[in-house]
Amino acid sequence: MEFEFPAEAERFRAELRAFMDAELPEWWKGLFHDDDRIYPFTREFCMKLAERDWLTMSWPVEHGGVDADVWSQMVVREEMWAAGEPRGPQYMSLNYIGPMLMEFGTADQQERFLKPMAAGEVMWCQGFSEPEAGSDLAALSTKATDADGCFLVNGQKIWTSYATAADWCLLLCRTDPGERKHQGLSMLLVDMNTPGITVRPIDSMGGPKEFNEVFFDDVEVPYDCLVGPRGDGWRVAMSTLAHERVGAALHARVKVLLDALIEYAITTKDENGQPLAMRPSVRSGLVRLQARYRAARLLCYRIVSAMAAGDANDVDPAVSKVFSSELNILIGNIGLDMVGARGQLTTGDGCAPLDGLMNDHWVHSIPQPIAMGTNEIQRNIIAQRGLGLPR
Amino acid sequence: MDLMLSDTQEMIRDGARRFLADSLDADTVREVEASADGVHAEIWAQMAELGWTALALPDDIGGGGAGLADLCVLAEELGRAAASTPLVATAGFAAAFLRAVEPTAATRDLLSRLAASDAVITPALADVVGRDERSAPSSVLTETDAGATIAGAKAMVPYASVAQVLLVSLTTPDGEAAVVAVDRDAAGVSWARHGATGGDPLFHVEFDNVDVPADAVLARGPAAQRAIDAGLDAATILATAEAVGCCEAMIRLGSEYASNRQQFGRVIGSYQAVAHRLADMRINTDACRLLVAETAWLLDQGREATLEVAGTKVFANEVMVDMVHAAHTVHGAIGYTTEYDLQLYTRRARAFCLSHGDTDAQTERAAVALGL
Ligand SMILES: Cc1cc2nc3c(=O)[nH]c(=O)nc-3n(C[C@H](O)[C@H](O)[C@H](O)COP(=O)(O)OP(=O)(O)OC[C@H]3O[C@@H](n4cnc5c(N)ncnc54)[C@H](O)[C@@H]3O)c2cc1C
Repeated sequence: MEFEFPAEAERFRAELRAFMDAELPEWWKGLFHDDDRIYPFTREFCMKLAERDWLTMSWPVEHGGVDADVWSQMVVREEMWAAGEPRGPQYMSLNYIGPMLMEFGTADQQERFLKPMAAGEVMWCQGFSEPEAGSDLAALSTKATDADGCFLVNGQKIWTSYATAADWCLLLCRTDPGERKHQGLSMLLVDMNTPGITVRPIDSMGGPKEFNEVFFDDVEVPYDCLVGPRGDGWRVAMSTLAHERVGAALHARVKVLLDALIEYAITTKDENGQPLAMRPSVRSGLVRLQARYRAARLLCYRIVSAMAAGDANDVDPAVSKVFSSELNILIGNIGLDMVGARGQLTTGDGCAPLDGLMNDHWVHSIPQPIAMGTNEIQRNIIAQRGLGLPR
Repeated sequence: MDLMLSDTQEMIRDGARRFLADSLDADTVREVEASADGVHAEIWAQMAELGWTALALPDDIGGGGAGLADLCVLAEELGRAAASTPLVATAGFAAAFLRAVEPTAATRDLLSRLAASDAVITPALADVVGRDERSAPSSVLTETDAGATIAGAKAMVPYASVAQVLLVSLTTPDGEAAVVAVDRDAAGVSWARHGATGGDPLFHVEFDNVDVPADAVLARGPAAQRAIDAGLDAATILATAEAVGCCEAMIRLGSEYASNRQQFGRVIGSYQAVAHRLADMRINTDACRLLVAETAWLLDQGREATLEVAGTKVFANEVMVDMVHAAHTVHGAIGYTTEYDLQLYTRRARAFCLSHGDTDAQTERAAVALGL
């Protein structure tokens, strides 16, 4: 056992932080804020990361990476998530769309799609969920039928994050009938500029930038954009989702918030002229959060460690996801209670404590237990696959 | 013991529910939230016409002669409909405050305005820097030959843009507390709306050397503090009743959704992970409602109820924070959209937990009242 990052990774962290201090503009508040400058900025930012070989570090050299160790890659994930994810949607390419192509793509597909990803030029979105297929993803009904030398896609996706900005969509759809609903699915790579695709933003509590509906109306998709075997898309999707859960460093944002709350507690006086930090409730809240932050970080690292040792399983990511998303909820609530009544004021209001940081986090924490597979589904995975309980 | 609603209360509940169903839908709620004043003005006017806003004022001044407990039934219905009205500020705080101070011509006049019209009288207590309504105000009152002058600023004043009178807490040069009734249109009063997550429109109000007549100073010293406490206690309980209504709406939406939404070939409400979240919401909402009813009754009896008010608020804060997330859990992604109604209620419920005394503040009051 070894509970420290390699010295090299920590040196890299310092370098990366200095780079981000220089590159993140004053107005940057995070990926989900309502600001039209965000997506163009994230693209430029990714291209700069790519120039320094920091975008797809852990990828093999042949695909535009530098074969970096997993811990350097973790440094990137943590620093980016802590800063509100300035890579924009491109964290998905790095974490799971690229690796999926390495596993299932043809040599041509790898050549064609991985290079632009590694250069930071291209944004993807993930078209899996449908109105009737959320937790029950395999119930999806978007169809790709055979037309003149290509697929013809018809159907609807929903909750598609980043679809307004994306150049490409990773689309899970039904190509063939199957006896069971997991059969007959296929994974397609769809150019978002193809005629017949309509994107409708869905306004959310966190603003209009969180997710969209995507409609497919006779959308032509060339056969060479099928990844993995036709009809075996479920296996491709499961491998993709496993990578997705590993890629999230949800604990990293908790650290930023915790530091801000500690500073706030020390520097803010209550009505008796005492620092908030002297209140038993504040002390207990912060200590509870600190211990949970450590646990969340370790639960995340355990997955990476196991992967590095070639010993990955699908229960640990479920454990980590539940714990970290619920910790994000907890820190939002403890933080709001700590800053008090004015915590309900939003970012930009002159009277909002920490410029609305806790309020903003609270809103954006709400869907964390739902996104990337709900916590109920994760608990089912832990119970059934981890504990061997009956289904 | 009789924990059932009285006939009057049932009448209020049914009448309010019918009236709100007819006059308010979720789209109107959204429009009002986006409007400059953030208030359902017609609803408030109609409520005044029906005598509801003056329900808990004494008969002899033209009120309905009912109690806070009856008003809570109305507040719960407003909460269910996500209506934004100054009921808590005006019929809650202002009415209880004005009845707690030494009666003068000025207080009698204000009370009769509350009884007779749709007047909005709202508390301006929370300081710009202080923590909440009870924190010592930094705004100051200075005596002049003609009366007094006030200077300073207040944060989070509810419904200031539609109010006629603000009840402003101040500190005198001798460090004494004072409360002054300030005509909202007086020269030197200005206001700007806060950005906020809850349902009540909140304002930052500045007082730039506002002159008030001598009789506008309604209370001073310990009497002022006592009257503020009386006002806040009534407002707290009424706001909790409103929040209970929000929880009822969350339960209704969640149960309907869980009964219809299918995944894996079954309605999701048949999964215990979902069903138990809803059942917990039922349990805690019922507990809150009974605590509210008993506490309102105690206040109506004129009994000392600091422990009950503060304890109810602490409990409501704790369970409502959880209920908000439970309700979102049940809905999956759709509950996060603004097109769906859930967010109207969960935002209100969470803002409620921070308002009217947050958990720390009310825990301290309750602990002292417990003899700790
Ligand atoms: C912020 C955000 C971003 C997203 N981005 C994307 C994206 O980019 N691309 C994409 O494809 N999807 C995306 N999603 C969709 C996400 O994957 C789904 O929301 C999720 O899988 C849940 O589906 P659902 O919302 O339909 O909820 P449902 O599946 O309808 O679930 C509703 C409730 O039922 C429970 N439930 C369902 N089945 C069971 C069961 N068997 N046992 C116990 N409880 C059960 C759930 O846990 C939940 O509490 C995003 C979602 C969010 C919130």
